[in-house]
Amino acid sequence: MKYTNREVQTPLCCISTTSSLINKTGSWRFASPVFVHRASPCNEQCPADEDIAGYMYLAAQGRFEDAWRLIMKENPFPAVMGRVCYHSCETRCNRAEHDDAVSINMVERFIGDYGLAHGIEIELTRPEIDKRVAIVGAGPAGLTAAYHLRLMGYGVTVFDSNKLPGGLMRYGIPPYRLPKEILDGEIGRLSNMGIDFNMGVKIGEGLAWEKINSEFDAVFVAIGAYQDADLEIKGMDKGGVVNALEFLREVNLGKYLGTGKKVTVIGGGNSAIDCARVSRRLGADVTLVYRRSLPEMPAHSEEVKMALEEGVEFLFLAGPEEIYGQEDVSGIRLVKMSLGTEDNSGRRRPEPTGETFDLNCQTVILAIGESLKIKDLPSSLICDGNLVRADDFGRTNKAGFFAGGDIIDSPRTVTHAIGSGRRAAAAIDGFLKGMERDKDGLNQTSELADYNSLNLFYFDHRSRTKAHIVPADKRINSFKEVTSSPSEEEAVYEAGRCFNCGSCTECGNCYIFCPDFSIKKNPDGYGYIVDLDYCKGCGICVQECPRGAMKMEFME
Amino acid sequence: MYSLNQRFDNMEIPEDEYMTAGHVACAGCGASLSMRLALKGLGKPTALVVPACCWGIIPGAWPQTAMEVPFFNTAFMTTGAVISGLKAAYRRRGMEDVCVVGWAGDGGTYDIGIQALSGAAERNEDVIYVCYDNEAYMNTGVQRSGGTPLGAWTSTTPVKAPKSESKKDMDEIMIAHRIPYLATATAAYPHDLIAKFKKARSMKGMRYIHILSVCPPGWKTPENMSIEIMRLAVLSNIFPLYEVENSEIFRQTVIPDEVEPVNNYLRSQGRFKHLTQEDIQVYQREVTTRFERLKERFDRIAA
Repeated sequence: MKYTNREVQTPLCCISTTSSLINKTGSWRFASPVFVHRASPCNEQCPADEDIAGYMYLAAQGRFEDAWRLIMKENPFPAVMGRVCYHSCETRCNRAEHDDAVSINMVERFIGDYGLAHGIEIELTRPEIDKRVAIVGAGPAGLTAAYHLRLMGYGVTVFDSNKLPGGLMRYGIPPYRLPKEILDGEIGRLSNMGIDFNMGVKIGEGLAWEKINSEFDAVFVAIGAYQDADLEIKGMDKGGVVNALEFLREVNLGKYLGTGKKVTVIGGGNSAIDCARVSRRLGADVTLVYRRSLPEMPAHSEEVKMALEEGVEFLFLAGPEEIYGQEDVSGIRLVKMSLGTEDNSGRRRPEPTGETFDLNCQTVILAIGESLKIKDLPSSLICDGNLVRADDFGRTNKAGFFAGGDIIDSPRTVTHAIGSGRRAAAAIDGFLKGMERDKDGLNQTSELADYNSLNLFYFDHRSRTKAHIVPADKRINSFKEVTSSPSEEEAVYEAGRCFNCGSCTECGNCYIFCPDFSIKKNPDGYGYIVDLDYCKGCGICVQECPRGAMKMEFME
Repeated sequence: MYSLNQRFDNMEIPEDEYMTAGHVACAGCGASLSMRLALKGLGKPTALVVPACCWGIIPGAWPQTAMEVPFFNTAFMTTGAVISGLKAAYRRRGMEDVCVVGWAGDGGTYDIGIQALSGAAERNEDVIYVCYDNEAYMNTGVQRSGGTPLGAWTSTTPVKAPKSESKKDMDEIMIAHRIPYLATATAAYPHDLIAKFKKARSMKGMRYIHILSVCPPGWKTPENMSIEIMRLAVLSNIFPLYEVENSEIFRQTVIPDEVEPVNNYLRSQGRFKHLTQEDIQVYQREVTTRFERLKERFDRIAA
């Protein structure tokens, strides 16, 4: 096409000849968008530091092995966790304000089962380190620490006085909540990693702490809390009075304690509920006696609900006064309580009214809490009250000695124990390498992806998947698992409900809505990058990011 | 490609771009984003004709251009005529497959260009005409146009005497021309916008697409809220998204789950800041009435 008049050499019309790319519009900008990884509230809440938002994203795409490996970065027991964790993460789920919290627990359970069903193993990739760590106590805290230290390349030996590893996961949690084959599967994976198990050895009796100290470079103490709380009432020596942990242990060993027809459980925690539900399965009529009322109960609400469905009678505002009977228990005298002023825990203190009444029963199970057996500890460890003094990473007063699980000041759940084991493993690694180790290696970000950081337009309303629960009248006939696993479709659907708060899922909104061609696929991998040569800093990308994975940074 | 958002399952945004960065639209400009997305829907070969408007300068001052498709600047009132002529010229040269697109602002459509546009529509020229509507003469300093809504501030309808007339119903004027295709679109619903441009490209005859396009300086809105504001216009039925075939088949393409009150839209913009609660009620009534009239026709097709 001819656009110029040759004679005068002036264009007939102006034609652009250069690209506007020479015009670096980035110089207009006074604020820059940046991609950030914010902590989702669930991640922040998780006592085991799991990257929930991350594995939900993978599970939603059906990438279950990747999701499993992501959980295993923190927690070696996904299938156990998917059953027994009290999922406090779900109470902080941002989706709860939109429709209903995501059933995180259900998805974790599916992923955990997937790992077991497909026999996925953990490969050791780090070089062996010529240092050895002793783990005393094969409960969730000890096994988690052992797992992480083994991954780092340390030689690990686990000691426990029981015949089999698992601690309270094996000897405390009833099989209708955690089948033994699931536990065996996940612990078996740990033995395959080359962790030595030295079972049936009680440190302090069969083997001295000094010997452990001299033979190993570091020691992690997680022996649990097995000292029964003292209840100074008459009749504690009668036949048929039993302690909760002892009772659950016998049941878990298959040696069913013959309970009487009528059982009274004293206490309001999760162990009390476990004992009550187990007794129902043994055919007893069960009354659970708690000195406060329902709202103050420390037991998890879902457990309480299940117990009620299974026919456990709850008797609130009553405390034990005397256990009576000839040789064996024939009843318990209870005193009525009323609630007074708030105590340290923020709950109203029960006060005896003096009015008593009797309850017939043949068995009394005491589930009023356990504390640490101080004499089982190395004598050099300083205790505060009934707990070993330790910092957030389990470091005790004695160099080379670390503590975790139920013996330190932390809520007594499997999940918290796993978290303490993981943090202690990081601290032990730091100690053995002569480094201070605090935040590195753990999922800790300063910023939180709260509800306001999300753009909810991009999420439709989808109802929460209900768990498959065996009806109460069927489930009290056996110790079979009460809740069954979700199907693959359900797990994918439920994971797809997750907002993945604070994480980029490559949804592309930033790219789609950029008027200035300044959001590009990251050429080096995941996600997007901002082309600051041309970005004018309008901030549309940040505003339209559904997940709060971007923010504006204003220039100084 | 980009479909992971729960809202937009199974829809994709093409990755190809037909213009580049370095253009000089303001930060947060709805018009530049609309063009970017429209071209993704249109693809090549496409030739653009643009009269005096923001888009006259957005690609850059001569000798620069951000465009990777032919782009012809023309006089304010001539878009309808130039696209007719350009299409005829392409046809004459055996380049029938070139999609000729007129791309004009609301001033160049509602006011100054309506004669040429009406003529092209009446002749059913085989072209696409796009009005990107930022509801005033933004390029020259926010003077009122026929597209400025009732009660809005502009530099010629100051706060003491805001616009007392309603927005001209240009879509109804175009429907009255009985053209093969008419659609409304906004960049806040990119999948919808791209689908409409794809559909328009596949058709013959006069096609008219009306794009609502936010102007942060002219509407007095924060730049980052551009998409949110255009979305609110749709969710409050101020700018319903629909398409019309042959002036007969009406179809609403985005149906809000819940209709928002106009209040949220108006209060998000400085140009409506002076409106009283009574003004807003008047505005709400007008929006409701206009939408009800449109809805009757959606319903008639559905039945």
